[in-house]
Amino acid sequence: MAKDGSASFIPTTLAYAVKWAQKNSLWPMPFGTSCCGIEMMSTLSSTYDLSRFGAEVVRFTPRQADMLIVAGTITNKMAPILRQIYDQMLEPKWVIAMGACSSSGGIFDTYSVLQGIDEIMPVDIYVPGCPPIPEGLIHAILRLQDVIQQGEPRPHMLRLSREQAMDAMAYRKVVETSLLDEKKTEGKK
Amino acid sequence: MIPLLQQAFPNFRIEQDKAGEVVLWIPTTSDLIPTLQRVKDDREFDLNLLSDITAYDNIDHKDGPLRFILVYQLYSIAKHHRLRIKLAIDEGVQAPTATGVWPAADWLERETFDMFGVRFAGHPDLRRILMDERFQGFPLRKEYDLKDRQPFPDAQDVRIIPKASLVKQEEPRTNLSDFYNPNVLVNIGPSHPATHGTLRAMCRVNGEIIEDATCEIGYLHRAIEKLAENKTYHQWIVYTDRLNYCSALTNNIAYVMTVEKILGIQITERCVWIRVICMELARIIDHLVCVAINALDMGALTCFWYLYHWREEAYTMIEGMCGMRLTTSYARVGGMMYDLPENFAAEMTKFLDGVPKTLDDVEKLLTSNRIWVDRTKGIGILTPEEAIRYGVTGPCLRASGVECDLRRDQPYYTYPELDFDVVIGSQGDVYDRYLVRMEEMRQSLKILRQCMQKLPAGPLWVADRRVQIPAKQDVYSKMEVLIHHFKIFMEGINVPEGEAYNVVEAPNGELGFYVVSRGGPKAWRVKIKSPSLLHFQSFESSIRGTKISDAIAILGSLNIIAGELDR
Repeated sequence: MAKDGSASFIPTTLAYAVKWAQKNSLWPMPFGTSCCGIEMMSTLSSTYDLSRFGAEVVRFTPRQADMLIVAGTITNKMAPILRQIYDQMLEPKWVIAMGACSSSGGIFDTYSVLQGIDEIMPVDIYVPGCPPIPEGLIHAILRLQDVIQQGEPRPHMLRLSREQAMDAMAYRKVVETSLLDEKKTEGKK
Repeated sequence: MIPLLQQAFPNFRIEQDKAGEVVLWIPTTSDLIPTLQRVKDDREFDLNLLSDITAYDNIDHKDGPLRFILVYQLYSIAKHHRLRIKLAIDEGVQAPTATGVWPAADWLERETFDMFGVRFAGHPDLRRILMDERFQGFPLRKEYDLKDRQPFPDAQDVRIIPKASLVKQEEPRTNLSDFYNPNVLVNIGPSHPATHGTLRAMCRVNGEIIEDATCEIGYLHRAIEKLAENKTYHQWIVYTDRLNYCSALTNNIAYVMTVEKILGIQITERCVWIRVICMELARIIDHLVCVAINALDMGALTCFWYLYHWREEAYTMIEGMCGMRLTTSYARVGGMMYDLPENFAAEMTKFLDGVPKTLDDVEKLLTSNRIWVDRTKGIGILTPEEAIRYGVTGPCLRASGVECDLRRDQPYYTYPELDFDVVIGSQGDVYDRYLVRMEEMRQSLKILRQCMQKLPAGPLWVADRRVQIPAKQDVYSKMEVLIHHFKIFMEGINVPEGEAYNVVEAPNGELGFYVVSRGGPKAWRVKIKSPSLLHFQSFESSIRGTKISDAIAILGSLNIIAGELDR
């Protein structure tokens, strides 16, 4: 807009404008299960104020959100629900794995915990920390904005289909035993 | 207590544990229920509150030839004493259920079945509670490997086995014009804005009214108790942070207190006071979060902003104390990791002056707010008898009008020297729980003020070579100290054989750690008695007959923390 108030043109490409709009209106779907969820709430609350970055419109229905923040430990029992929510989100969608547990299982290398959500779905940004401080989550969102704006190729990752994710949830034992079977047959040959 | 028990049960073995608590061994399974009923009803004992039911694996046969030892923790609200009842039971033998004596036993027995495979004869609904129903094996048995993850080939199904009572009407809902068919199931959670984590309730609704409900937990079962058997006592402190992550300091301290009891360590005066400060600070944070979230769920967003500001200030203080905001790991066996920072007194003064103003503001916004009162008064009423039967503790029990505060009744640390009131409600509804929490925060501030005045100087660490972590400057300059330091951290501290059950008045209720040691640096069994498990069990019955929106209010007021619920 010019100084006198009359409308003027901003020369841009449609792709650029779309990216600009996308990055500044990320609507998060918070999937907070444990400690990280509390820090995520801190990030949204008054002191850290995530709305400064256009990402405060929390939507608890996945169909209205485009950024899934997985904050907290995901157990084997929870994994199918998380995948369901991911599948329900519309494209374009981005995923932030907040904290050590959702990135890698963290300190919970146990019989009931999924060792990182990237076993069942693609992840764009990993945030380290147990739990990450709110600045960490804000940094992750800013970094995600860069990714969107620059159109950077998404991180190299397995774009798992739903079927593949199901297989992954069926867990390593299946993979290991099948590998063992292959080895056995090789040995026989 | 012991002479009374000897008189009442002449043939039973009676022991005392390391902390001097009484253990009563039941000789045969058929004696269990009559004994429980007797100690509950007999006015001499009056053990009316069931704290916990658990078991431990006796695979090394130190406690007799049978495979499992069942443990019942009982508490008398009126007489302030505890009793632990133990029953040895072999694999494949069914134990009688205690659900007829206390309804609270329902979930506790289900958990024991889930983790150990001990079956309870006559239990109304014995199925897995924390693990998926397709899970094979019993994870807390010693032969089950910590990392043995199991495949669920059809994991995409989100399933729930409804209780038989959930769907009463046999006719399925096929006629869409039949608006008054009550056979409608509504699933709340696990991903729901009001469940804050991982709670799930399946409700059968008739219009807005919930006619029946069943809860499913275990979506955050992280095997913390199994980890306790695989980590040294020090290494496991970090896992206690992640139980009730709103008040991690209390968990740290409650756990190390238990280990100190087994070791027989008396910590220093300064350390005691610092621990009391930590626990009261944690109580304020926890109540701030609970009230803020409860109000937020009902649409009162302003209180959330107000209260979270002071929570952030408290976290800044905690960050100064131990370097972390949420997961503190501040306490150590025999001391604290660091002393208080230099600016702590000034920060605390600022905090003590600021919080009451905010509490007043929030009270102005809520206490006489018509919408708030309408939505909370008379909702989710727990009568005193009901609350005790369900094993409810903490602010929720006090809101029902039962005078029970472990800080006063079973005093630990310096609470006898401190002047504070036990806050009691009268109705036991959501509104009273809110009022109790608000007043408890004020009482905690009062305690903190006294603590800051009385905080003595002196050594922080107990002078006991078994547990004392050497100072860093000595580690770098003296050979013996370096070796000592290395041994403490690489091998762990050696805890003698024995057991202890230690409870503190955590913000949510009675938080207990039951530690069984068979010697060595790792625990044989650690059971966490979390208040949330029993609170959530009472949720099932207290939402019957309420509206769906009331269920949200009740859930917020119970302050269920998934980390300590599922462990």
